[in-house]
Amino acid sequence: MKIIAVIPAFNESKRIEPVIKKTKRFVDEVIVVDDHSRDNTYETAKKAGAKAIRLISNMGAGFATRVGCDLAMKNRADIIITLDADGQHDPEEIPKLLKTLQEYNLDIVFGSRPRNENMPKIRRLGNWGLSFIAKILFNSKVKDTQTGYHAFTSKAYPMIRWSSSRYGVVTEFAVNVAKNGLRCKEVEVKTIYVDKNFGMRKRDAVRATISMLKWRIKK
Amino acid sequence: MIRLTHVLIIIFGIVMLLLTFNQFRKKKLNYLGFMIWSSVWIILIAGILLFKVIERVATLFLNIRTFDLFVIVAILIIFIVIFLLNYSINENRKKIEEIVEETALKEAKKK
Repeated sequence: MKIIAVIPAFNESKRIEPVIKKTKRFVDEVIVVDDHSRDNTYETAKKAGAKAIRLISNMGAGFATRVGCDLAMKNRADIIITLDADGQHDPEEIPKLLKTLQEYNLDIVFGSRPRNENMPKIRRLGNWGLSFIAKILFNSKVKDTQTGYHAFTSKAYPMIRWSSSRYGVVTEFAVNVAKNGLRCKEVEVKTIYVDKNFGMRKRDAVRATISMLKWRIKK
Repeated sequence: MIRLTHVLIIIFGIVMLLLTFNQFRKKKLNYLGFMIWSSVWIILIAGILLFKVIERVATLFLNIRTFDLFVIVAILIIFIVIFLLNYSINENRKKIEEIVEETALKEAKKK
């Protein structure tokens, strides 16, 4: 069984090395998609032992993750794991995700972060709000739709393959899982916020809400 | 009677018509774009020159003032342009995404 981790990265040269090194211990291959960083993320990732590819333009986290997953599929992955490059997701928790995926014969496992004091208040509210809207519109059972920490099978990937290029990806991901009735489960992971000012902005949350309404109408 | 505002709008229309032609000559505008934009400016100029006729049509058939008719038509044109721009932006975004992904996957294959 081939397990490939996909890490989208943008300007993460200072933080990506330990993430790759730790991840390598639990997977067969690590693919880093450098989203046209201004620093030497690409070189650092290569040095750390990842299969690194650099996009010719900055396209967004969603796009970079999709390219990485497409490459993983070409490299005949059986299971794909997605995680962030900044250390927000602890690679030590990969076995937990894999174990749940295999033990319950699931399509996807979400690394769900508890909304505790480690999560900034505004993000806690945004996280709850978007997950609630996804629940209302798509009957999504996922408590943390905004997590980027997933493990899924290659069979499930064509059904969850997203079109969002930026941060809307995580919402679309959860919505596609609900829409296609995929078997999923949440596994609690640590809530780590390395840079509290970085990540999804209010604008992205509004866009994600509008997109959800659009997807609902389209269905 | 031609007012100063009419003259200014006609000058504006002629300048825009010349700019459109210039862009077409430099091949920055395709044939369809040239035809659409030229029509817009010609209709604008004709609308001012045939102000009296339009005024009669507007009051007789539509029962509205000429100025109101101009505003309504202008708003409709703006909406059409926004729609076309939005469509074209989305199409271009998709093409860019395809190129970037293709390039990235080719690069990965080489290694």
